[in-house]
Amino acid sequence: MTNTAFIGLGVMGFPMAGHLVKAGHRVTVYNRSPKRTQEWVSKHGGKSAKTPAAAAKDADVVFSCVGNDDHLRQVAFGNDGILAGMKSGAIYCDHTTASAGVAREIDAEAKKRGVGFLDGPVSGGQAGAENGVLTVMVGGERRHFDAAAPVIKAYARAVTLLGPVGAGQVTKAVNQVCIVGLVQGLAEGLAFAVRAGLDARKVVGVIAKGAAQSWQMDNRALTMIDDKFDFGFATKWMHKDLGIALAEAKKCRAHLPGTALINQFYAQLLAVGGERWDSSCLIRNLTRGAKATSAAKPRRAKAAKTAAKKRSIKRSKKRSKKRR
Amino acid sequence: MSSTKAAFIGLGNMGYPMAGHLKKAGFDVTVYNRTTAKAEAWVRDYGGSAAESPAAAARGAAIVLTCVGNDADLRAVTLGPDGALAGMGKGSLLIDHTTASASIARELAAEAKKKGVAFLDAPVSGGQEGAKKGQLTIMVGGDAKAFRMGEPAMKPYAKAITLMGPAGSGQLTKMVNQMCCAATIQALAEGMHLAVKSGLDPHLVVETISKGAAQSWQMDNRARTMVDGKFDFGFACDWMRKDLGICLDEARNNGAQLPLTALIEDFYARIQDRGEGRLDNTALYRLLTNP
Repeated sequence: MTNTAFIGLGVMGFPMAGHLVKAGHRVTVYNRSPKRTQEWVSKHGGKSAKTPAAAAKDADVVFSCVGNDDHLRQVAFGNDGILAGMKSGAIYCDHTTASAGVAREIDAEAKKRGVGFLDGPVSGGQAGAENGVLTVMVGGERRHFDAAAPVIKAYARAVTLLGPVGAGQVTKAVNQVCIVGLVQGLAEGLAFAVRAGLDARKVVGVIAKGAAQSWQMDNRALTMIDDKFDFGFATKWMHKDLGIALAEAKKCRAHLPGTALINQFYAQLLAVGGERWDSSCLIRNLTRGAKATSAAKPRRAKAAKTAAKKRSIKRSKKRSKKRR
Repeated sequence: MSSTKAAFIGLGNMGYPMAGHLKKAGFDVTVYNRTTAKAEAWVRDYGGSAAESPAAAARGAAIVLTCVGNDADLRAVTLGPDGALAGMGKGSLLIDHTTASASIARELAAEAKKKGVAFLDAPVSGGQEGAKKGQLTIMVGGDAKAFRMGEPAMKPYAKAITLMGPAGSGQLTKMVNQMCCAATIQALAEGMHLAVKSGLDPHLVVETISKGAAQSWQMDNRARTMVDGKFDFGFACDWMRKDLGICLDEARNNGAQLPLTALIEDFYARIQDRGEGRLDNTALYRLLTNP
């Protein structure tokens, strides 16, 4: 059993902290809105504190999982912050998807206090957090990793050390870069299939067995065709993550032309109110604004699809007539 | 059925083993290839016979199959006095395995119809490996009757054969496949490039992220070769650029927007300009590492 603290009870942190209790660890939680804290305590037991510092006070391992770099600085630094409360020799592992820069900042401050720091962003989404099967990508020193990993396993399927502090965040950035290019390709492919009058579901059934296969094709193609985005990983978070990836790329002089383009597409989706849509909504940029297609009336995708199909059949008839 | 007369036109990397599977399955196969030496080699390997022209190969065949390079090559072997259609009889079937445009598929379907010949556009995926093992995925456009007639001939080299819709639908499906592949490769290239540039071990990164939402066939099969700089195998950039060109042409016809596909097509053009068009299509990575 380990004394732990968990700061940030959002859609990810709430169930993650719950798994710590279930694994037999002592948990003290802190959350910006106290209502959420009370909810958590009544559900899982454990204790709550009034500040991050107070929560972290007696803990051997402290976790945080908040929204972005700014939120992370707020809970980590200052008189009420995590580092101010931590005892020397303890370990602080941050699960926020944040920049490698802020990870290095916190590490520098932690070192001064004799605290070991790990950046440990996760993948697997809300479902992964609830089922305790997240993938955790860790940056930091081996000895801190070895001490914290058994505790992290309470909510993880895989915990991997990827290099020094910041390496976890950069790995997460690589993950997001790989996802968005692929989703944009899938969006273009599906929108094209509909425009060409094909049965897009049937197309997916055929091409998902070969070199075009992807997790996104297996898990998001059908919801994209149905124009369903009220679930999953929100566009506002993906836009934030791409910002981190592009900033990191600038620093290490990597070229990410596709990612930069797609980041703009997400910005367009944010501008039309798409903050909470699943990040597979890139397809809406391709159908939105096109006359009388699924995008103009997202909720009536089916009717629009049939119309597009009819149009394209007419067009192909015209074409073959011309040739004759 | 074991003595059905068939002709196979185009014995490239794909056609050569495909025609071989057809012969092994018991079809009476006559082949034609632009370079005669290749046809002679095929006959030595598999038996059967070779003809002097596509029309001669097609004469008397119940089923004629073609697998050539592009729209122009396809026109050359099917149309005109020496073309396959000139040799084909009423009630026979022409199946084209070339990855070509949907419009040439519609054009050939119309030409074939005039002669009482049925037509299927049937591009394949699975690469040279799939052709050799007889494990291709075939995406077919045409009518159901022609499809039923053609299925037994394609089975010897296919893992899956699916009728997608009217003539041209096979080609359109292949286009969707290629777009999805190209974008996935570009995304993977950028991801690996960021990993390497920031000092991470790219192999360890792939191992970690390939279990989740970033997973793809390309990541499972091409990420390692990409970062190791191995591109002397697989599906050439030249071919991928041709295929994306077909996608963009068709998108202009049907009004689909393909911003990323257009960008990547341009990347492939740059690779060709550098004289690297024969490298595997994952060489998009090289544009990032050696701009």
